[in-house]
Amino acid sequence: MSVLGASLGCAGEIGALEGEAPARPPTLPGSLAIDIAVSSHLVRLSASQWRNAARDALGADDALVQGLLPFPTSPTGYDTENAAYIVGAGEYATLANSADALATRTVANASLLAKLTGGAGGKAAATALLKGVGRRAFRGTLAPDDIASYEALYDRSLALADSPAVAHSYALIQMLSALFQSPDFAYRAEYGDGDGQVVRIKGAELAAKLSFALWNTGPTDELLDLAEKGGLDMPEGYTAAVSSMLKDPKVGDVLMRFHASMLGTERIAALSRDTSKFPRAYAGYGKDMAEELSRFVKFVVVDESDGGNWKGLLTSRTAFVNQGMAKLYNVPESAAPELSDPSKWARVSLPESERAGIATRAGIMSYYSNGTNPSSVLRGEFMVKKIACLKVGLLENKILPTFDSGGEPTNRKRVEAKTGSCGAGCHGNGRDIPGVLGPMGFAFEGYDAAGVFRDKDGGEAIDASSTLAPFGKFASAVELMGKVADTEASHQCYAGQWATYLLGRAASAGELPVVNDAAKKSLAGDKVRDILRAMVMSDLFLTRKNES
Amino acid sequence: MQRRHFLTGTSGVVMALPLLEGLLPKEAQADPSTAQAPYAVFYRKPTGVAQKGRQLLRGCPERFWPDLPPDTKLDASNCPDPSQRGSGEFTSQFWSRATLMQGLAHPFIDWGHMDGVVQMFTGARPDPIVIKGNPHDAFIVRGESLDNRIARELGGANASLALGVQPWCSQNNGSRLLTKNNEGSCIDNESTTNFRDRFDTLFAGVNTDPAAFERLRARKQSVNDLLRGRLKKLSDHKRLSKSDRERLDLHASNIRDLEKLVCDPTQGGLRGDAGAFQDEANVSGGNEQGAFKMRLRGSDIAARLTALAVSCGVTRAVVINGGSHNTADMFHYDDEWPAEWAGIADFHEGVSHANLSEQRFFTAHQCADRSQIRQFRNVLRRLDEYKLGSGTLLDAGVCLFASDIGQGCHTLSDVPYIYVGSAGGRLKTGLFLDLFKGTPQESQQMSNDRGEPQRSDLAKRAKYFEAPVRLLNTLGAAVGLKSGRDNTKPLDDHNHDNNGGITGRLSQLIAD
Repeated sequence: MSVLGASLGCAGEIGALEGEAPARPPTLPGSLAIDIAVSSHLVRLSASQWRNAARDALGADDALVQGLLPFPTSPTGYDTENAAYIVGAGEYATLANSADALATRTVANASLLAKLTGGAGGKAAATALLKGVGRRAFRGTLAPDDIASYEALYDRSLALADSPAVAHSYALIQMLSALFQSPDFAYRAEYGDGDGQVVRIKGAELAAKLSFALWNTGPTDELLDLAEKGGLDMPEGYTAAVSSMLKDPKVGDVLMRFHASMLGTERIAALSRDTSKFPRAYAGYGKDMAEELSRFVKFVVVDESDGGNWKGLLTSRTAFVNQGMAKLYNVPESAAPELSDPSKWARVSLPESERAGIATRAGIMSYYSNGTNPSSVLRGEFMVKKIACLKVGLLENKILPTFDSGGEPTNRKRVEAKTGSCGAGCHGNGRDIPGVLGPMGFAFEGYDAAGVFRDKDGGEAIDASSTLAPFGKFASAVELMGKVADTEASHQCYAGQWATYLLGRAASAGELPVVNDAAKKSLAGDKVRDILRAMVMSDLFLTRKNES
Repeated sequence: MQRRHFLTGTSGVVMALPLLEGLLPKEAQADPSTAQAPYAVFYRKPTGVAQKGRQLLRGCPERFWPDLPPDTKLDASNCPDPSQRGSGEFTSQFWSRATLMQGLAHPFIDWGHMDGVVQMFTGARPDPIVIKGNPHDAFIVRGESLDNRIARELGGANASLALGVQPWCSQNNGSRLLTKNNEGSCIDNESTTNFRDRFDTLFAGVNTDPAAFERLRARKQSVNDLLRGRLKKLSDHKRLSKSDRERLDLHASNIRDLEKLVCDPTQGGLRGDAGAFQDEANVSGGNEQGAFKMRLRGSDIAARLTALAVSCGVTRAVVINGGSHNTADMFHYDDEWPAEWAGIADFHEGVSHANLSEQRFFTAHQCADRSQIRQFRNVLRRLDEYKLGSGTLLDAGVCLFASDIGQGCHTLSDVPYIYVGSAGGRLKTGLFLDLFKGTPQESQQMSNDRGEPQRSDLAKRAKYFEAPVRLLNTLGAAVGLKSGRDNTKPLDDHNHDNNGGITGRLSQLIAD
């Protein structure tokens, strides 16, 4: 059964899912509850969106696009953030090379090509590709002159082939390559309906925006059909489509990708430690820490377990470990039968006094260390930036002083000795939040540079206690995470990051009501999927503001 | 290895699709991180610069650094007249894209040259070996040089591309920039002027037949013509905003630029010029009249080869030996140069090991400085000719100009370090900095009045090594190297096992 067909019926008869309220009627320009910020008309796809959309336009599997990297991936932000995206010289070269490779693989795959062309030969094959693949790639039916321009390329390429024997294959490759490096494919256009400054996004544009937002790929034929018939422009139809798409497993790609960027999972996988200093940091432990983090995120967010929400991510002790990770986490082999097999992973519960949620996981703790000692400053920065979104002066491309040496016996004391004089001027906000990074970072003193829990440092008992508004006093990271999870500011932080991911830019002050509303519901227990639903059902997503 | 600018893809499709299929993914996975992957060029100037310095050499006038206070922002208006201060040879074209650093030192110089070169590139003191009859040029290198590390870790090569500019430069005089790789093996990185041989090694396996390239270019052009049409159609949309239209214009210009930039080793007849130079250099005798002009010519071919290799992505690190410290080439100035300089020898011994109170020696030294900068400027100019989407190939990398020694007569402090290019915006440029951390007295203790090294008090010298090592870390990090202690962080510990554990970068050089 098709994803949309189950809920949308047929022949344009669109109805809301049972038990779900339809979206409110489209808001008229000028009467929005929020002040939308001006945004670009052209959104360049991320590398993963390009791969996924190409794969799906061709009706192929992941193998066809494996290894292709048409655009750079963001080292720190979300790949969807597009404010500065252009197709620069390097991007153009990698885009062209990726498109060349994709086209070559497609034409070399005889069964795939036959499926796409319906077995047609000669120019008829080219036309069939343009009408089928082209429509999905360009997210709309190609106009006759568009088809003609690509057919002309096919004709020209026949003459440029090295021999008549390969001319047809070569010309198809040229044409498909041009299709996938075309700006019509590389950019998602968003003009909106009408000539006003604030306009509603409709039709195929909305189908594409929604599909990339929830599935990280281009729209299916079915969604395009619905859009071209105006189905998405009706509140009930749009609501039903959103609900269906959120239930589809394809939403998992977005859920996982968002958290992987937020947590830096890829960077964690590259970690290693000197095993003579950190015996539990076995060879390959970086990769396993990243895997553990991914399995945990999937468990909470995709499978909707342990609350399925931000609070679950911040506080859950559920973990998936193999033998190496079990030892690192002080989990006995007897905790799960799978742990007797070194190749298996098992679901366990981490020690209550030691771990609570993502921030206390070994991968995060190890990543925010310098290889020898924990980095209280970087751990604090992670908490401030990604978890609590406190507005303070942060480290940006600055060189950290080293805290590894000095007369003090513990990491905390060494850091305090060198930063104690900072006072309110050291990463505070200059008003009421002094020295935030220290207290936020010191809460995690109980984890060494490999992410292993410890109760002593330099022979002294660990001191992870601090006091910090708006969380009050806390004695450990576990206690802090519980307080963070119950603080609305943290949920605003999380919802705000989702807005950034979905919009490709940070929400402006005028758009914050949407974020804050989602945060309130998240604090009350809404699942992560509910945050996505709230975002894509809002004016923040459904309207755009043009330059005056 | 990044070869993304080669004409590949559909252009290369001929008979065997499956065979091509095996090649294409590798091309498509080429480093996508930037329009041009950042790279580093290291240029060795052998003879220091004509400067006053801190070692209180009697009568040394300042003939190199600009007459500006430290921390002055460099712009075209304060680029000095090169006849007054040699650094003005960078000219207004490159002045504000350079960062000039005074006050650095190679603290462990035993004789002054080859051990200085080693420290310049490795950030570690070499172990001298006293060999009867040749006590000064034999040593054991400790650790890998930064150029080789960049080439190895970022470029997938065994060593950097090493080039010379001066034919007949004997091996013992600095043409072999001997370093070690990360496994402790010596790398004989000969800075050759056999440019045709280097060319053929770099582009081995690439079809350099002009007719084949023309055919490939026509195929690529066919696709690009269609893409330009698509861009124009998008750009003509009545609702498109001005800023979005500008983005599309940039996209279109990048296609156009890349068509010009596309890696075509046949362009400009470089291989032919390289071969002619190589043949001429190898049949001519040693030092002779005309050698200076030959060197200028060699520097330009080295510059063209550098720019082509970097733009094609066949290397991420180039080291260029600007000449020998013992050369006796005679200058033959044309009208651009002061007439009174004609006949002055760019002879190291002639510009330093002489009576330093005589003005003419400083004039000769300044003359040598200017000629070396002109050689280096060829590299800058050739890199700057490659236009990218924003800026040029020069802006995408960093080119370091540094010397074995501080002044012609082997002073140990005030070694000039100048870089040009921001490594794609990662480094600050347009700075004039003084990084000296000691006192003039301490500096003076490092060598005697003639700049000859004092072999005592190694501990005191060690402190001078921190800044140059941190500079290497800064440059390495800017082009993408990672810390050896934590590979998720930028480089901050190059060769620290061999230099007493120096870590960190120079924060004042790191762009915000």
